[in-house]
Amino acid sequence: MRSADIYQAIADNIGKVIKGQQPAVRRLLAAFVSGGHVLLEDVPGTGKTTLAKALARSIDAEYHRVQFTPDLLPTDILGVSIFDQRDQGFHFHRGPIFTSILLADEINRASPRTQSALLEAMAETQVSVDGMNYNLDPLFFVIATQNPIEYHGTYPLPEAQMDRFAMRFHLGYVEAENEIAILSEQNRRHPLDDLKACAGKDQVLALRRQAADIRISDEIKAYIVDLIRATRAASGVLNGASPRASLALMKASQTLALFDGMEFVSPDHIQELAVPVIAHRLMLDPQARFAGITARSVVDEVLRQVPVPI
Amino acid sequence: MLKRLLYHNFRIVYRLSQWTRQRFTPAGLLILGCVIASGIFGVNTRQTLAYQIFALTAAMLVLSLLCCAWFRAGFRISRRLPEYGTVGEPLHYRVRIENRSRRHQRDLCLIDELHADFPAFEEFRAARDPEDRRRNWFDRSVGYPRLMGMLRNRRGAALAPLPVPDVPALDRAELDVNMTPIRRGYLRFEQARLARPDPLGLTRAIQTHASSDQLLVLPRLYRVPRLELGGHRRYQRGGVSLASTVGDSQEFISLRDYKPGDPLRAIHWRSFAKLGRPVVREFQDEFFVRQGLVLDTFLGGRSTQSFEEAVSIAASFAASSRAQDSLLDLMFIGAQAYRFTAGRGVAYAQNMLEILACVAPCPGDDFARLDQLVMQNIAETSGLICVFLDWNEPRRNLMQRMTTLGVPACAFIVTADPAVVSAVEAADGNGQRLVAVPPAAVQQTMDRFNPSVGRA
Amino acid sequence: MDAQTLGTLSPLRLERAPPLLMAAGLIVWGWQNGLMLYAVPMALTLEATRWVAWRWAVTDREFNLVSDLSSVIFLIVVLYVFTDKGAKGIFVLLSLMPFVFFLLLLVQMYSEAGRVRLSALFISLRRLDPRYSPEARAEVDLSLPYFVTCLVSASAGNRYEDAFFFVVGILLGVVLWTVRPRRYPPALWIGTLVLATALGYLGQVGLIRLQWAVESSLMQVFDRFLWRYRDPNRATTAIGSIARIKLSDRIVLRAKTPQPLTRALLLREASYDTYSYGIWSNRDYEFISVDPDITGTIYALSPVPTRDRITLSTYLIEESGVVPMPLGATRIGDTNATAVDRNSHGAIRLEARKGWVRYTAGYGDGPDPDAPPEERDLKIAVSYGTDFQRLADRLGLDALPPNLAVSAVRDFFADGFTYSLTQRHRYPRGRYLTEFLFETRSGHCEFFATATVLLLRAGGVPARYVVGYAVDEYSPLERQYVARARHSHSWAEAWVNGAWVTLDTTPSVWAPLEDEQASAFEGLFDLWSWLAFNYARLRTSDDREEESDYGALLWLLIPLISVLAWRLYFKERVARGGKPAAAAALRSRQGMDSSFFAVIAELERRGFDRRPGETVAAWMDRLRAQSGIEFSSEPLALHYRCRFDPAGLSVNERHILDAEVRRALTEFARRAIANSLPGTTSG
Repeated sequence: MRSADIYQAIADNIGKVIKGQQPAVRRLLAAFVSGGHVLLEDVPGTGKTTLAKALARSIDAEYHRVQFTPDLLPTDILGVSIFDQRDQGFHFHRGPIFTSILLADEINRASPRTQSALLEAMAETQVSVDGMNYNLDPLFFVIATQNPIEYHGTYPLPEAQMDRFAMRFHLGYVEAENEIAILSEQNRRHPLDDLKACAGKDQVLALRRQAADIRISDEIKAYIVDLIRATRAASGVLNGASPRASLALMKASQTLALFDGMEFVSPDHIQELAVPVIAHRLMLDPQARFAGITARSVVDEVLRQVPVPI
Repeated sequence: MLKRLLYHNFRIVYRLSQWTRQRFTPAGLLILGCVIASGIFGVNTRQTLAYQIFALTAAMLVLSLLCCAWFRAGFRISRRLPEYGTVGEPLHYRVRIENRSRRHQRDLCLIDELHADFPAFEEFRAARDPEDRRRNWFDRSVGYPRLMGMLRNRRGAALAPLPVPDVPALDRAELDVNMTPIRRGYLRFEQARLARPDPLGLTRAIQTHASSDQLLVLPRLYRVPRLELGGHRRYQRGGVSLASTVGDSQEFISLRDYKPGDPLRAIHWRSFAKLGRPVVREFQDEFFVRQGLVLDTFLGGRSTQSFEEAVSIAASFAASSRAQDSLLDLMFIGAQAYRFTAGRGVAYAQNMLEILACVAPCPGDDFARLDQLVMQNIAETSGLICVFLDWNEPRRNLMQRMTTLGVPACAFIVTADPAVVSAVEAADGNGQRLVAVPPAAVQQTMDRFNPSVGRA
Repeated sequence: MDAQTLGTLSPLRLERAPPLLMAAGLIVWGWQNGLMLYAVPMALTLEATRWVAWRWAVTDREFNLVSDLSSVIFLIVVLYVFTDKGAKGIFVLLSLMPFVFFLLLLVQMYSEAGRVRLSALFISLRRLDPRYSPEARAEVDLSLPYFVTCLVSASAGNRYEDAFFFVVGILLGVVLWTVRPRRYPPALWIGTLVLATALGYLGQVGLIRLQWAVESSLMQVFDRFLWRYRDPNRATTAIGSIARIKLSDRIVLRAKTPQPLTRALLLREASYDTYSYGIWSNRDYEFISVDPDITGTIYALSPVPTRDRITLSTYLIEESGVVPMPLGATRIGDTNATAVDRNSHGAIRLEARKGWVRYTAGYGDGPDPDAPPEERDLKIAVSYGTDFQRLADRLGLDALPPNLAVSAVRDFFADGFTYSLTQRHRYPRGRYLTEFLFETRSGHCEFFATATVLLLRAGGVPARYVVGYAVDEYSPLERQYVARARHSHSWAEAWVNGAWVTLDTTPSVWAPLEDEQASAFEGLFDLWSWLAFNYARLRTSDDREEESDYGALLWLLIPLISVLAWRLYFKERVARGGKPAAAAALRSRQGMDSSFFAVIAELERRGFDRRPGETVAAWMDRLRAQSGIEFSSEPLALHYRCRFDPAGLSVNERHILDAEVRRALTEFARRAIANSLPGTTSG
């Protein structure tokens, strides 16, 4: 199958379960295929868990869910070495992180130590425990969630750590007709239970390789860099986006181009992903925050002002 | 009596000046000035030719005003305000103008205005404006600048007419508006005005749209030093449910045998390995630092400027506290005794700032209530930052009691009264820091303040 | 992403004047006031900022200093002008305004900031805290207000009425063009401006008429109560009226002489020949006009050479009136009168616009060329006849030659007669003169004059009664001689040896006695009169006095200006930055030769603007949604490949793209005409 069709199949499959969230699904798949991780910042009950499960089912991949609580320890995620009396040796019991798709629910409720354990593992794609390195799944993909409203008992991720996520976006509440459709469909059985796989892990890995082959002209690269640099110069921003952001934006745009069946990246792809990729990496001046500037508004402004290649 | 007459006059003058400022473009004001100047000098048509200038410019203005009697195009105006503003910091908000007509609209002008009730006569008479010191005698006695100052303060920010980009037919345009709030609290919009110029560009035809919004402005923030009060960490009842564990939770004080029901996570594996039976850690109770921030709200006849600066100082400390590893309790007396806690996963600094933005002063000087509130919570307090409006007996006693109880405290007395300032400087803090802060020089005082000098 | 237009434009404010406008304003000012010598360099200096690059970094304090200096200059000019010119100084001040504010403008134009803080102009704003009063920080560009000041100052020159209106109209039109709102077509703007100009033109004509109408009605009120006028055919005396003769202190005449007067000067208004019961009268003698000489300014009255001259000013309440003339007047010159008439009995009548009239009368030693006496100049009314005859006989006047008769009459009245303003007793009508002559021997000048004339007539010498003024009082306030109502005088003239000779028999102590009648408030009334006189002069705007020398003013300003220049010079001068750093190195852009750009250009030409951050695809989508413009997606996809695909387009694909573009353009044009899509031009 052509890559665009593979993507479309997966998206449609997920769409059977998650209604009315096509743009979010598109972004999620773009991050997934490009090898980045996703932070979903959303109010409870919008279907984040369902989304992760649907994705895992669609590509027949392993799926784990970790509920972050204040007393969660790093070993609870990574795994722990247990002394086996019979062998008189330590055996490493793998934690939930050794999976294809990990849903880290309410990551902001764990202590900073636990958060960094996960984030480091994400960055290095391997876990070091007791001097031994254990590699993670090649398709390792983290969907972390954060509840933006609650603050009681939370440790919001510091901006420096946010950089590790390729994208941050939210699902949000759906349109009325979609919500009605949800009620109709989930009356007796959850559609998730009936979901079948429509692609395989190796196909996804192939997509990843193909995405890296998508052509991108120097002018588009220069446009990406212009955007990133503009965020550094924007007013109210203490720390703009890093080159990691440019990389993430490029890779994700290539993936989108692949999904659209194009062989090259167009400026529209860049603009579609600019806010999800860049906004969460900006460190705003606290005064600016109190003056009403948000990261999203900064990126929107940059998109408007920086001349786009025509 | 005279004041009442003046007051009514001011209303008229104010309305007139508002009308002029809104109706006339800058070019129109220039031509209006030309009309007046040439009118004065052109009274005698034989002496100068100024009457010609007068006739020409007056004709232009009259024609211009006639052209501005009609402005009927359909528009819809909506605003997108940010979450907060801060006093003294410019903020931006978006105004969206939707063009419902089939005409491409150009050269429109947006006159957004914040709502303010014109001060009543009693309020005008009782007002005390700190800026009056800088005005001359005439302005002070007549009171017009004072009235204007009151209005400006009620508005909260000054908004000038802004040009609107072209709005195509059935499309919309967005406009970025800048304003710098000058007071904390809620700023209210009730209406917005859209204006179009006449063909000559001298006057405007205005249509008014009802569009109400409100925006919370946080108090002015200063740079304040980190206060290491050096207090002990106090035992906090409620431990984990109150805040997440930090550091200490790994520390345990003892090991004991596993009892069924203990969480598996509490098993100490190394001991298990050594001893061959499950052993469980026993945790220490939660201890961490909890600072108190006391705000004196008793005006008692003192100036409101001192109160505003006191609120700003409290807000600055609240905003600068690193909420990760300690709690901050804000205590003040309003309609009742309030205690608000932030930090360490309880609330964010901005929630505290929201509360401070709306704090109103208490008339009178019933300091005992504040004293009582502080003493109620003293057992959990590791250190105290006090912001006072005066330095008298009850306040001195509070500080004294802190010393007795071994709670390190630092008091900032916001006052312009030189007698109080010298009393503060002469007072013996007994190890407590006492700082007199003149309202006009808060930032300088804070920059000079060295927290490490004079610790207990 | 929503398609939105974003505007972050600066608030509306007065911008810098368009190029050369200030220069034009200054030139107009110089043209009208005759100050081109100053206007041209000032204009050049101000406009040179467009070519000269360097600027000074002027701090707030320096702006304050310049503003204060300008205020000081203003005050000095005000004081100087008002002490020199009096009330008229306000218009001189007006014409000098561009000088006063030139320094401030100069500093603004050559400053880096290019605008002046309001706090520099208004001292009350300087002390305000900008945190609470943001208007302390507001800035303003003074070039347009300065331009307007130049125009209003130009109007003080008061010349070239017709040209001035249109010059001002054109310059204001230039200003309005630059602030013209773009939403209206230029035709509408032009139409409105033309209408405004026409209304203005009618308005200014109307203003002139209005002023005339107001003034004439005011003047009638003014005149009825303030000024007397001389009727050449009738003079009512106070002979026969009881009570104290009291004429007011009102100044009715002003006289300026080259040399101070050594003694009182008599000025004649008219002479009369018929007396009856206290009223001297004439037949209605015809007034004959006197022609001016070749220059048109000098009216010769008599061939006698002019020995001395006197400049007189008095008031006419009608278009013409009889005016006082010195005895032996030879000519009238330097007058704002439009015509001069005279009658046979010595009355000179001037025609001028109602109001103040001024004339310089030259006089010599010769007699007045009045008509020779007729029968009536010897006639005495019956009721007086016997008494005067008796007296004449007693004096033996018949026998004497005329000159000796005159001396005899003079001697008669010099002996034993006193001057008095009071008439206490009531007599039957016609008895007053007799009582005066024989009983009381005391009276005022009218008695003396009337009695003298009748006595001379009784003695066979033709005589006439003359009324006029005696000029003696010098007013330091006005720096000229003044004659008040109570200085009006009567005397006699007698025909001796073919000429009329003046005979004044009133005792010379009359003047001091009159002065004693001065009221306590005379000083105040004099001041009022002086102001009114000057107002009257202003209205007729006929001041021929020498222009004062402004050199003294300049000398005062030079040290002030050099101090300022020194202070500013030794501050840092910041060179205005050169051209901004060269733009970032051009990036390689592939596919710029795509023919799709023609479509983009066509759409933009038709007024569909693309926002800077909007991609072509998003723009097309927006156009489709809003304006219904449809383009097939093929050319756009090819264009994208051309531009953004490193592999580019093959030659074949290029051809396809070109063909598609051509088709799309023609289709678009066709549809545009069909739907009459707006072809709005920008600007």
